[in-house]
Amino acid sequence: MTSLADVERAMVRLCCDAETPDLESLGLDEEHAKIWGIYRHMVRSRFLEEGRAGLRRTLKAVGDDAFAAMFDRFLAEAPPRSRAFFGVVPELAVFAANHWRDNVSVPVWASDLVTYEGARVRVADMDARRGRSVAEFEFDRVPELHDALLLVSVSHRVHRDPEPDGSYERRATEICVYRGKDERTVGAYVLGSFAAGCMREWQAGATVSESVARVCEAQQLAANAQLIDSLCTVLSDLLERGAVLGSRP
Amino acid sequence: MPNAVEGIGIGLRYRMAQETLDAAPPELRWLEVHPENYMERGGRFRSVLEQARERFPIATHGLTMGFGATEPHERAYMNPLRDFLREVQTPWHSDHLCFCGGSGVMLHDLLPVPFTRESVNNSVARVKEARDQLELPVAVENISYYAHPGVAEMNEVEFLLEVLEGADAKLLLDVNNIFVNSQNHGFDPRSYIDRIPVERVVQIHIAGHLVRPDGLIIDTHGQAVRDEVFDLLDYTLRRTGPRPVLLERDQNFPDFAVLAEEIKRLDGIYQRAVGGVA
Repeated sequence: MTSLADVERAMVRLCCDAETPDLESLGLDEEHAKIWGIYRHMVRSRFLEEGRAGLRRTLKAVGDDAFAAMFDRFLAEAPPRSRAFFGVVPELAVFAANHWRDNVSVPVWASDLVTYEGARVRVADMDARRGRSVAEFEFDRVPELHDALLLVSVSHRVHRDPEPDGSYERRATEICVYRGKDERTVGAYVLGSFAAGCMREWQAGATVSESVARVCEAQQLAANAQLIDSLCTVLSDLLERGAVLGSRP
Repeated sequence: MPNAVEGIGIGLRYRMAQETLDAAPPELRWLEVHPENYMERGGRFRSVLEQARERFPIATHGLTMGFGATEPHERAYMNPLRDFLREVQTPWHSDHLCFCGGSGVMLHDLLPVPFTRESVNNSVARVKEARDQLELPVAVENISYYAHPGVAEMNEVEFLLEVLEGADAKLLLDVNNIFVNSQNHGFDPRSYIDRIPVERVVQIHIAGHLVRPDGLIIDTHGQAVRDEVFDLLDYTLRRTGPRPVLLERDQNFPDFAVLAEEIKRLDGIYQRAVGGVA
């Protein structure tokens, strides 16, 4: 006898398996095969449509076939677990980035592109504390970053438009993806390796002064005036854009 | 402060949120919100929700609790949900009598549960647990279904009534779903409505549906409400008395003026049915 849990599992397999499963083995009647196919189509097409809309640049770059093949693998191997429908595209992007890394069937920059585009989708919706108190910016305090901010490391300059041949320049790039002051737009700001290292230290709770010392040591840099000036420029830009809000009180 | 949830409402959908807020006809009295679209979410959606709350009372309608599911409610979902429901001051929270996935997978659709004794007992327990954890009245919504999984031990309305009775639950009565099921499975929708315990009905849903070339009707929320469904709403309201009615429109969005006309027509039915206006 089929248990309720068996039926529940059957529904998941019906919708997620790469090929339509044998209905009898799932305890679903063949008489309604067309209906079960409609259920499968409704679930899959809704996810696919959302993925295509959310990852437009990736879709355009890799093409319909590669995108659809990746999507089929996503549903079969790592189907959505987010209760929020808006969480599905970031899940798909993470899967795609892993699936396409070192995958010769897609361009070498595909993994980076979907990583970056997925980060932008995620930042647009990330929750942010409301009414948080922020102090005036000071070097000896911990910088208070916007909650909707991700630091993305990629090997290609995927934040820019593609080259005329559709490819992306290969260059290690650290991109701060942030939600702007209007809370609607998502911005991207490229950081050098020193500033990116500092930002990781800030995220871990270091003051600006502490971050400079630690990153200089780690990257074997001298904390000279030029380095500090460049960091000041970055901080000024990020404060202006709303990625850095000030300092932690 | 907005008034109570009563009269005609519409689902707050981001793609038409600004029109909803800017061009709402006077007949629009409240909004329905899917918590999963707003909970723990910042940015533009939070801003829309805040604007909506200033203007309208809100009732919440969940998408992923799935009262038919076999797994326990996740605290990681229920606790923030409870906080959200308090924040928006909803008078009740509703969700569907269905599967939404399983084993942690979320399919983001409403999948049919079997009409069996085991399923009744499972759903009853799940509704009760939800009410306890949310500390709020919980309403169960009847869904559209296109095939029954496995062997049914009772029919749809019997299944629904047993769950409502067993859990002492409220009902979000989806009139369009009854119509869709009546056409797809061959029963009289009015006889279904005649069996509904009206004291449990806290809210009504109304929507458009798609008739496929093969005759199968799909509950899409993407078309205009059909005359037969307006008629069934009229019949329902005459039986239940005044209950808030929610127009669901989730895709294929027309000009908001078209929806405003539907809202006015719904309000006319509502006023006639509950006020005895000729």
